[in-house]
Amino acid sequence: MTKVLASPRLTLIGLIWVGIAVIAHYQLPGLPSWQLALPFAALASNLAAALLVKPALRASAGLFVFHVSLLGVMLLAGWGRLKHFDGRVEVVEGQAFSDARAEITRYGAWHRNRLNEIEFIQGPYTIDYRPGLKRSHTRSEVYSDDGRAVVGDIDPLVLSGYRFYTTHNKGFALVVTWMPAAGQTETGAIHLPSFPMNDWRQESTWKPSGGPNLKWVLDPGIKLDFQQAWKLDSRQLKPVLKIQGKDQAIELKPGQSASVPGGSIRFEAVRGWMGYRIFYDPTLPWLLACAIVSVLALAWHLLGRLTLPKLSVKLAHERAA
Amino acid sequence: MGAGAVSAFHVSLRRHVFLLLAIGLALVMAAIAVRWTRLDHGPFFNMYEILTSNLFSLGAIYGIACWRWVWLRGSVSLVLPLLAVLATWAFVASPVDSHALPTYETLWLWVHLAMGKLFLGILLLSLACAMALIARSAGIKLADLPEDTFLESAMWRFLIWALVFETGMLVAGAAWAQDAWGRYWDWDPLETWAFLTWLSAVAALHARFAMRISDRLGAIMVIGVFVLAFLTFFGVPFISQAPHKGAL
Repeated sequence: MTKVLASPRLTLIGLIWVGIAVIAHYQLPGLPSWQLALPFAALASNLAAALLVKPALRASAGLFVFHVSLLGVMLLAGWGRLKHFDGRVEVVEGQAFSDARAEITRYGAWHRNRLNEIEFIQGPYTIDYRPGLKRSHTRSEVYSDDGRAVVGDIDPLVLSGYRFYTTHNKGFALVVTWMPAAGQTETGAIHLPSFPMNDWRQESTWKPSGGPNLKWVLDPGIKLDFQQAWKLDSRQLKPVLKIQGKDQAIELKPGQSASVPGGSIRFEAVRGWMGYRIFYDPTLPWLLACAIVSVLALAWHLLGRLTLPKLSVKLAHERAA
Repeated sequence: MGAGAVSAFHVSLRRHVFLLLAIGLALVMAAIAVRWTRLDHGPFFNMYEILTSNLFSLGAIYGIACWRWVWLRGSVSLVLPLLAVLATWAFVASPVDSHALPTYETLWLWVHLAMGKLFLGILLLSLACAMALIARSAGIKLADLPEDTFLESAMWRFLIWALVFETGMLVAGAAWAQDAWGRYWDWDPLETWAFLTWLSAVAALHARFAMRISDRLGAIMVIGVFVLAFLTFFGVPFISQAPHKGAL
């Protein structure tokens, strides 16, 4: 049985099957993931069987290590898919990360969600832009038990194995306090659309409990010339909040209050919010190590046994002469 | 005219061709250097930069290989048309200034690029052998090249080395993607086609060593691998906004 499973013909069929599955996955992204996992599992079984029964694969240490690490890469990648988590979250400057606000994109069947164990507070961030609105370096300050850290671009925040990557998605949030005529005062943040992608519509609607439905519009108070280099920094804004009700239009600066039907509103401040991609895969370091070993092992095997073609060889016309 | 006179003529002609190739490469290198200095980043962001940098690396690897292995010089008439296609394409591509992304500021990118250039360059050497075998099977003599047995052996050896570097390119690329975009693999168009190229090279080598296929079929498979690699390196960036979808 193992010999049949180790057949070289099955290897070729497996490779073609993987190729077809990859093309199908690429063309039809909605296909279930087992459609891709199955041919890889078949190929891994074929490779494992070949390692057991084919002496040729064990004849050279380099070739053996290459195939074993290749099998390791497939198994680790599969294990990683079962354990992985992929999501996103927006965190407002000055506020703590909350797993309740995280949006799950995908996760593996064996993933045990530990996002609730993660604690960090978002600090201010800056983003450099080159002329023509070309995004450059992102520096996002975060505070956790490990102290202050600056993350961004290729440096994620890593907590309990979860990796938080800054994204192009970021913007401003209006921090307001709602003081109802009867009831409890509450302070919260109203997220505005991503900036500067939606610089022309920095607005949102929100209805305070017991209050009217209101439109909240932010005037950043600064003139941005996107044809010049500039820095996005919420601390440099001179914000004016425009609140539009049914029969009412109010303008507030930070610290100012105004009455609306059912209570009053105090505009506290404008804060930045940063959008993070959350990624978890416990196999990452092992996967990288295994993949590097596979490349080195193959090169080692070739260096020892498969030199490049000889320097001198008789050409056809020389042989004819 | 005897065989010796024909050979002397070919050698003299080839010498001039290689001299022109060296001058052309020097000019491409100068153009890349000037642009690199002006923009303060390497040539890997838009189609024009991808074409010029690969034109240089392919030409340089082929030139060095021909200097190292004299027998390979007879393949110049098979390889130069391909470089001419790239040069023409680069000539008509828009040389608009590109914008460097902060996610490209990592050592993994350089490893990824170096591995990729070596992969395609060595695959070009394998292709030269494969095309010679196919041309011979079609009745074209190609007297300046070694016999078929030697070419066939060289073709596979070059392909194996190309596979080593392509594997390295995929590993370094995945490590870079993890840092840059928070995922090591996402089946974006370039990742998909690069993996299909790797798969085709593995399948070709496996067919050769485990199933003893004919020289002609082997040569056809190597040409197929190169076609896939060419589509990956130049076709995907041509139809998408950036080499990688996640790069914007």
